[in-house]
Amino acid sequence: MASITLQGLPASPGIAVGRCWTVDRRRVRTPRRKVALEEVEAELHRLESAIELSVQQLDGVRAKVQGAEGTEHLAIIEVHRAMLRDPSLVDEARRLVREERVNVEWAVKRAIRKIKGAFDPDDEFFRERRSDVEYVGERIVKNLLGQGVDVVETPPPGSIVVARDLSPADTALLFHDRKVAGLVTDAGGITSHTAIVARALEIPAVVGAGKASASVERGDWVVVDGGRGVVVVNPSAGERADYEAARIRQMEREAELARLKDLPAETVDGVRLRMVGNIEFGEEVPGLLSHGGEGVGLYRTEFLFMGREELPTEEDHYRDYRAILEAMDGRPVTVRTFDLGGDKLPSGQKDHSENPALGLRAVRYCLRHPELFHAQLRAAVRAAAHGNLRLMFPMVSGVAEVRAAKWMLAEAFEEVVAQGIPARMPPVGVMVELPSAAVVADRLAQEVDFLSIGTNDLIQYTIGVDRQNKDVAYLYKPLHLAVLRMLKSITDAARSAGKSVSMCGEMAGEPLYTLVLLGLGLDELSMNGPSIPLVKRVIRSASAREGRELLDRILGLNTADDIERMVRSEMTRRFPGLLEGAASVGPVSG
Amino acid sequence: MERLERTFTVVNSLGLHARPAAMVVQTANKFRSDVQFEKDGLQINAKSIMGVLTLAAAKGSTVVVVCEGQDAAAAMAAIAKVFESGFGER
Repeated sequence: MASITLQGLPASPGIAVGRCWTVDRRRVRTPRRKVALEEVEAELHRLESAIELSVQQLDGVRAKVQGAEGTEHLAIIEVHRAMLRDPSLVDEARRLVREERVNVEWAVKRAIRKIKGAFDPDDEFFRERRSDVEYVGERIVKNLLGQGVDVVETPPPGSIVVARDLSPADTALLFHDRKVAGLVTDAGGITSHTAIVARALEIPAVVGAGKASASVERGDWVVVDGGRGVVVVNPSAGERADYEAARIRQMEREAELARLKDLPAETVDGVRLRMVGNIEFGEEVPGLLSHGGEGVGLYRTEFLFMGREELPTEEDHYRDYRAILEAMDGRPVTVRTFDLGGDKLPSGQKDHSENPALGLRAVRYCLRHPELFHAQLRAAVRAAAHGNLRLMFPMVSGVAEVRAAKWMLAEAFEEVVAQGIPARMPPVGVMVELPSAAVVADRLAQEVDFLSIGTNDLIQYTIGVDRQNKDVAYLYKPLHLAVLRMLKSITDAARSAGKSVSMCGEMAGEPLYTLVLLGLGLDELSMNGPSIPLVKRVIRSASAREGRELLDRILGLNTADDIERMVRSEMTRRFPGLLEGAASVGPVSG
Repeated sequence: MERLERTFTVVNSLGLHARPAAMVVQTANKFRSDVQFEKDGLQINAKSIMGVLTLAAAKGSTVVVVCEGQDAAAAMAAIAKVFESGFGER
């Protein structure tokens, strides 16, 4: 049998190889007929019974899966249960039977259609609710017709479930015991309920795979590559062996990285670094902790502005920071004040200036809009009373701006204290991301408690290159000699001032650069959670001394290409296979 | 007959999504009073999950709650608790 490869959407990463187990989920055909006046009461009674049966079925599903791990996402079952008894469904169906004398199956279908109309199909959230309403209607109609609704058989352990579509109830019943190896559906998007549950339960899954269910039969071999969204039906013996080997490699790598989670990022010669995370939302905290994050090195507060009409209030900020501090449970959380301006502005505003990258951005924007900055600073000093908050100002160009920002912070703090509100003055730092700041880093270090290097902007401003511009993007070189010299002068300045220095750009999370960063003597590296284990692995098997030696050698070279070649060959020699593994860690933003 | 009105802010980060909506409806249905929610000119019956879901109130949005009936005070207290707990979420 020839193998078939299908491309779908990558819903849940991981590779699974197993025998196919199809779930038949044919759509119900709803009959339509007129009912006589004397039949109306009997029809209404049928509706009552079908709803009652539907409620019982969902209770049964809930009882079966209760207590299983990862089933908090199955709260959707509760929503379906509430929908079954919803007046807008039940009353409307009753009305249609009474007034239009249609059979109750048709009445339910019509009522469901009407409810769906209230949910905007172009909105992701409402799209999911439309499908919830549909499943609920389908359940009632199937029960009215005496058809089976939920999956009743249990797939053998290690099966790959292949279906046209799965209802939340099916998903709960099939996956709660985690014995299914993989999942493929013809329909669905990566934010569909099924995809979310698959990710929560760490079951490799591909959704939106087109005609998958029509291309397989029970018992066929199926490969699911959830990370790439690829499904292979009836793979050749060679393909199966390759995927099986890839699956085992992946499991070994994950197991190894998981072992690293609670081990310190300490070099063989005893230099200890702090591995922290870049986050935008509180929801990212559990993921960060699960990868061994020891704190938040960059919390981007401007995301509080996204998707809202009004400016966030002091209370909004306060609640948000406090929630993150509490979730981080005493670990340091570095809050970066608004990095607004340029392409990031509160809704309704636009920067029309000729050159936004050099315009009213970040701390400049905040100093120009003191009311907005004041609210954020008040929230920060209040939240600092509840955890280990550190505050950092972005895009500082020199000492005067730091002093102005610190002055406003002190003012906010005194005001809050005078009002008798609990507050604490947090440690203060600046982002070094402009060449001017890098050059005067020694003076900045006198003004603050810590420095944090934002490499993305620092590289762009230093080399004068916009990496989004494809004509010049090739010039964007983290290992450009000018960048290296700048990094060295910043870290040297922090060290002589006795201040800590961290890095929160993309460079920090890229293992290729880890040895160089060790040579620079950074105290803290901040990156996306998933990048932490690999970088930590390099640190734990390297020495700071070899990092310094490598740095010395590359500082003697002239071109970025020569430097990169030397770093790459050293990393390949010292950590065989590492750079190839780095590619699978995924994009890192900073 | 008592009529009470109060304004609440959605404080959990995911907003009034599916699970909190089910929680609100369950709570409202424990009382005999009418419970209405109002947001951006849209008024819905808080005893209807479909209605509550159409509000799709995001974090930070405010919802006006009106309870009307014999047990309006108790209903309002129960709804207040649900909102203030962030629907049991962060």
